Amino acid sequence: MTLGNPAIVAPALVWLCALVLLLMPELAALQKRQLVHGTLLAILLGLALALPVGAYAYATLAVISFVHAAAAARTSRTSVLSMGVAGLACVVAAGALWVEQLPVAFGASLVAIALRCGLFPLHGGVAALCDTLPRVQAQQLASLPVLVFAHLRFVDHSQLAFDAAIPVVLIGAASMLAFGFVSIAQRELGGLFRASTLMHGGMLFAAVGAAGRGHYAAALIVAITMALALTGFSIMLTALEARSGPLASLQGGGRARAFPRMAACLAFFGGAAVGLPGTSGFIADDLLLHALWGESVGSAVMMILASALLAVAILATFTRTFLGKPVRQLAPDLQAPERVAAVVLVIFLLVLGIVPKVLVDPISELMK
Amino acid sequence: MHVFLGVAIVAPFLSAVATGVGLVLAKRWLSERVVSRVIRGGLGISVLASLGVIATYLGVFGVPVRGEVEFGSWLTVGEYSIPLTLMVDQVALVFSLLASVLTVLVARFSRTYLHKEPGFDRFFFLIGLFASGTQLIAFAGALDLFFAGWELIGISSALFIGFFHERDEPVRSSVRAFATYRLCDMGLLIAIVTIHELLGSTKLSALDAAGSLPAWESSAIAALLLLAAMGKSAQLPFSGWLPRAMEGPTPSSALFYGAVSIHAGLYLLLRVSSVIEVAPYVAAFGVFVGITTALYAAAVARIHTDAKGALAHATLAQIGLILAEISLGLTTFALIHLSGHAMLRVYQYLRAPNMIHDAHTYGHGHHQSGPGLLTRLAPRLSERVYASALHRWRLDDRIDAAIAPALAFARLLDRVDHRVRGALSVDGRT
Repeated sequence: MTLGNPAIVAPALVWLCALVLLLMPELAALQKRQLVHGTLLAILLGLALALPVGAYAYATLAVISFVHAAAAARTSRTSVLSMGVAGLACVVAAGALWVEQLPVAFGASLVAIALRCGLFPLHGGVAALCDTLPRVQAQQLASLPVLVFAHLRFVDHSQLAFDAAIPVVLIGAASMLAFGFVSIAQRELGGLFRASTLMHGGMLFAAVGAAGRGHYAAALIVAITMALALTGFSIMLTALEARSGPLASLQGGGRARAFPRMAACLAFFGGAAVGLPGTSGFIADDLLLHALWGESVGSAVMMILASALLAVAILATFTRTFLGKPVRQLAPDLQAPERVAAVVLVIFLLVLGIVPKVLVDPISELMK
Repeated sequence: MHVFLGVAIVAPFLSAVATGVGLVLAKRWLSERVVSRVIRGGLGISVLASLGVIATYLGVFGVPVRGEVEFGSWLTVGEYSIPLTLMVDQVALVFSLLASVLTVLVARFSRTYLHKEPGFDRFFFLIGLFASGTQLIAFAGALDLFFAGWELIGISSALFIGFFHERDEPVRSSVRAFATYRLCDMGLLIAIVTIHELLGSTKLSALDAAGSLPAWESSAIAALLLLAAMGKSAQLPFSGWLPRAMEGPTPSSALFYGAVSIHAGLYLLLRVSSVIEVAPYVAAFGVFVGITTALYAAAVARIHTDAKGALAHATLAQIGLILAEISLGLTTFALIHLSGHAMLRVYQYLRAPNMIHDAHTYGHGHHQSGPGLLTRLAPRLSERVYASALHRWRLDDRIDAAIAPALAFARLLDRVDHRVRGALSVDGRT
């Protein structure tokens, strides 16, 4: 299935996904004041995808990371540091590409991805964003697929990328498994969201490693699926927090009676994150599993185990919050903007799950 | 043929998606009539499509279409592809028709049974999801597709167990069942990837070449597939979730744990019987597990005091026997046994709420008999079996003890994560 020139279609599709990821949280929160910030990011993301020269694309990605750092400035210095260093790594990658030092660019780009996806032990910044600034985390999730796209397009074709594939895959898989276990120990939705984000971060890093040996589509679809599912999850958590108070202090369950739509959407996004069939999560998991199996059987088994652990953790934490004896809630269920945002994300997850060729074919064609 | 096959799988899925999106977007809740009609419409179309597939198979519309039916590929990346291949053979037709007819009957029953029950919409949404999952596994010609249907069945099954979510016990049971499913599904996932790597394709037809693999490889694949089947069909030592699953509404118990879902593991083994055949040690283990489960379930069923619990264990005993039959290579016999058993259990489960009424109306019908054979031959052993059956051989406690170290490890990693974040934080807090 080819919709046209893959050099145009592939970046355009990634940009479309990034736009949706940027806009939906703002729509759900009715944050009109953030429109300027969102528009700036959307333009920068479009630029990073459209620029055919790697150095320029990475320079734009550096600016995007600094924008994320600035957005986190008032709340978490750890996040500022993390996003700032990711930005600097992008600057190094841009400089290295300019002087045609591909191995340096590859290393710097990997560091940027590790910081942005929350690879253990560089996960402090992302963890702090998940805990304190889910809106900024949603924005940086929106730009993460663009960073991965640039990595695949400009720096992932070297011998070093090929040689480093297995160590990178193993590091990512170990981080994924560690946070899979951490997710099981979580008692509340906030902690689960953090652990889930970091577990997917490890998964993405492993996918990027496998891309060094040609599994490009797996890496990109993992990045996009992760962003779509976690953004939906984050929107629902923000909605719940707005109605019931801080997630960490939520006591008991029984909120499904008062917020049935919220519960249903949260369950769907949680399911998509762990490979619910019919969603792009299933395709992402399937592609990644085959990619990892080809490079390292151990990492594939770690991925399967981590995904199973996260699935159980999501259901267990969901039941603790939403199921059980009903509690009295005066706040209403999801409002129209929140429902529209949720449905748009659901549709994206379903379309990419049922017709994955729409995205996978142009990416594969382009990367050839 | 292509149209019939596609419609059989997609119609219930679309009806579920339409209902789900409608429920989220609509300002007011959809009425019971709308929800049940949309879903039952999808299920009815699926039954008709299944009949259409059978007619095509028999050659009613011209040349009979049998075997693999290709729809291209779901996606292709380099050398890897997920083939959209469906399989039309006698096994698939029997299971598809059985599942679709029983689902539509249970849906009709539930329209009245669950009238004005909170969660009516949820129930029908899940029925739609489940029906598409069962049709997908019935016709799947490739294991990737089979796994998609398998997961849909697992998720809807867990959500049905927790249907009465305002009570704690159903919710806990739902998490336990789901955890068991996911643990055992790892076997199926690893088997699928291994098959792809070793045989070059996940198509069911490719499994015929399993005999050409070294014995340990074919045995490993067979063992992984058996693990998946044991979890889904509640074989020992994973039987603990089945009696707990009776917390769900009676129609879902009938459909899932009497008819379709509980047999899905056995259906998987029927589909991959060519792999089991070339792995004699795994087949022998399958016979052992099946017979042991049958004995365990029969002992527990005899002392159960609640109707659904006794039925669950009676079902389990038969499932164990069917597993033994498949492992012995008696696949046709097993398919007949499976079909008859599914139909009988649906009827029994749906009648279960009336048992007390029936007992009052028609009498208990108990026959006072003398001591059983075991009691006469070995009274001490009989007492021990009775006592063990009372607490179901402490299966759940043993499983809990087995996973306790993993949970402790998870808590340890959580503390390590907290400390690492604290050490690397420049905020002065975590």
